[in-house]
Amino acid sequence: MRVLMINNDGAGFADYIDVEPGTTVEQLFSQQVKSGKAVDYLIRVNRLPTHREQVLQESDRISITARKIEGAR
Amino acid sequence: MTKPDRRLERMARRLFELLGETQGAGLSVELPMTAWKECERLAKLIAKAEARGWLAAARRTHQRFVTAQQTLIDRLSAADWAFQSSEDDPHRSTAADCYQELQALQSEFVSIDYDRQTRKLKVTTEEIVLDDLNLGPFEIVLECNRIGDASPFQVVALDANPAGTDSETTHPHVQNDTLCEGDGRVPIERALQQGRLYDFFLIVRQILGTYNSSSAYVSIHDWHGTRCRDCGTTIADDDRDVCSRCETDLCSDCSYVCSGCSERFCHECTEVCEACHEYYCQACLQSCDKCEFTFCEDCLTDEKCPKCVEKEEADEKNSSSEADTQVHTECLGEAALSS
Repeated sequence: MRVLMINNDGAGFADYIDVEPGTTVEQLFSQQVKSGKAVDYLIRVNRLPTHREQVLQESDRISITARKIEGAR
Repeated sequence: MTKPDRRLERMARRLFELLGETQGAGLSVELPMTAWKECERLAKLIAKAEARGWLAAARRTHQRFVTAQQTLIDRLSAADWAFQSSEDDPHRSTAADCYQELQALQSEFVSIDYDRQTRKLKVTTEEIVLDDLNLGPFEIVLECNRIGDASPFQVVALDANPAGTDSETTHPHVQNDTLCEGDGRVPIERALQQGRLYDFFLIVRQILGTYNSSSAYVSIHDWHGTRCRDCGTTIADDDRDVCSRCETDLCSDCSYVCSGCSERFCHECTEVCEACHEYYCQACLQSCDKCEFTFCEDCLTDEKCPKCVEKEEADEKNSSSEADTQVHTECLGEAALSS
């Protein structure tokens, strides 16, 4: 099934991807963010806060935003 | 089913119209003409070289042609990929998307507001607290008609607690209402290009909630200004002196320039030459061998201060005159004897 994956880290990836039916938020996170802990990110499904066991549905919009993003001067 | 929020609906409709204008239709095509012309030029050169029987030159030019042809293929592939992507752009916003974005913003932030006249979408954060420093809430103001320009937003402190040394710095990464995005620059650009307003505001809020001590306009440590150790006043960074000996911060009024080495020192690390009364650092003063008071190098003669030198000279003079007197007396005696 197809979901919209938005990773607001680094280059800001945003595209549709195929995932297996029954994929949870936590599984998708570990597939998409290789080096990082879920606790360090704001994960939203359809723009709403979620929990790691939530099972994704067709056409869901998942966004991952780091809790800490360093500004500069 | 929840009733749609009429205010949000109106805002979403206006934003959708505006984003449509700023995002454009995305159908413009740019052909790789430069690469094509290079191929054309090299093909003509090969033909010319062959016609004149310059086979070595023709072979060399052919190699260059192969490279140029590959560049042309790459450019065409890139144009094709861009075209496919724009056709399948997951973020070409719809009015419904705009509504959902605003609805999410409303639940995530303290307040949102869209000013139709100025075309500004304003979102208010909660109080931003960094390492126990409360900077108050911020308003993130997106100028929707400037999306596509560099930094089309401002970050305004609503209950500002600016740095003691610079009233325009309201956050370690905000100066003159402008956020230095740092690591967030690219994702912010991408989010705005794709009309992902919710992501944009979320990224900005996360930057505001993060302190990067290695690249701040004013560090949290110095937020309330540097205090002069001697008089206690707050010192602006460009008015700050540091004692060259004990390294404490000083205002310019409390730092003394050593008349010997010209370095700056605090009151405790300077002394006055007992003779000329100029300020010197301890390293530029020496003790008089006789009285042990401290003096500058210029005021010492053979490691003795002027007073001690004077006293010594006077003593010498006295002792020599005493000696003269004694000799004279003795001489008189001798004279008496000899006569």
